[in-house]
Amino acid sequence: LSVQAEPDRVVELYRRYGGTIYARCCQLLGDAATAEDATQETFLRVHRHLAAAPSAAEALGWIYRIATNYCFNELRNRRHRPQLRAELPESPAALRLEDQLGDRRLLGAIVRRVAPRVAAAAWLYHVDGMEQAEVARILGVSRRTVINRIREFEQVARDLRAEEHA
Amino acid sequence: MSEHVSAFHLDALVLEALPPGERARVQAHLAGCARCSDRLSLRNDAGERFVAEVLPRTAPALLARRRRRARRPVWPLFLVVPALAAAGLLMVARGRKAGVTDGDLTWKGAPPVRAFARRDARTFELSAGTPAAPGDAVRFVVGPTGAPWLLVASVDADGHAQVYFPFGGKRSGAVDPSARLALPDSVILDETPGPERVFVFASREPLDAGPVLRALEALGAGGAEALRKASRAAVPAQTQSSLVIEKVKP
Repeated sequence: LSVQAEPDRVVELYRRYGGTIYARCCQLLGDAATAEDATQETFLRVHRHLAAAPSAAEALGWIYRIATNYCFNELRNRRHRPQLRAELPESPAALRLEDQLGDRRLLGAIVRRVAPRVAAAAWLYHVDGMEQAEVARILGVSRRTVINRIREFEQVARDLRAEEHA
Repeated sequence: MSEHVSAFHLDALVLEALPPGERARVQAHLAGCARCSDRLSLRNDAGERFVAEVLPRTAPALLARRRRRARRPVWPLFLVVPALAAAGLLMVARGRKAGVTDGDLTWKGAPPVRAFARRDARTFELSAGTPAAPGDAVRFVVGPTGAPWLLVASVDADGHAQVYFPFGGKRSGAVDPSARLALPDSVILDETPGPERVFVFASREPLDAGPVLRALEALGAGGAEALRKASRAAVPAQTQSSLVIEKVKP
């Protein structure tokens, strides 16, 4: 796409897919203001894929891949460190990992200990409810890699719980 | 993980990207599942908020950012990226002639690094046997790094060390570990002839630039020949690689 020649096309893509990207960023980042900026950044990175995608399903795959990785990089880079002791659930063992990840501070604590790609795989699996094979397709890696990343994430979550309750 | 509809399928439903059979299955599930219906409502709320509030406010800014981004590269990246794709990850040249040698690219996981020079209107790769010249604008392409933090720094035979990425920075910069990165700034080579070794340090935690620069200065203190032979720096990165640029006066 030429910037000068096709601004309307870019805006059209932004209108069509922006809501999906925005909803995704809101969910991952947890606040609307940060999500706005993340939406623009993600769109700037993904719009050529969107323009070339033969179907909306394929476009959605690119959105998931790039938005998820971008947002976890953002979460990792946030300066404010979580205060774990006050924020971990009282009885974390009783909660599913999916529910625990709703705790933004806990999520932030985990993300600081794992690579964003590891967090992305775990989020797609545990929170988005995708099958491992779907996660592998979205992230462009093997299913074995997805399994390993999910395990690594779960181990870090267990370690954090153990540290909290030691 | 299949007791509920995945987020991906909810988004696909909204985008009308599901095949008819799948759409019917998802809609049937939604009709009987309050949890998934709530998730869909949240997703739709965000989408509506985007259309009503975010889109009108941010579309002009988005186009402006895109124009700035399109102008930002001082390099014809369309020349650089196909060259990378064609050549694979990296060359394994070990020549000692003027040009570039890859000294440390053999151990597992080391991020590949390549250098491209622009001289007048010409862009070319600084491969073995291709000398660089004072005034050349050199840009580096790194990765994928395999780690989320990256520090790129160089040292010349005078022992002068400098951080190239983040340019002049105090610590490593965050990068996408799975992506190839063309460093955003070009480096204009100075008049000092001889080798300049450029190191790429990938790490799981950010590295402070101070100790890295001191380690590189110690390497450079050994002189030109030592710098050409140096295989790695005493820096606690998960992986590191480097290349040597030989500067000669034309």
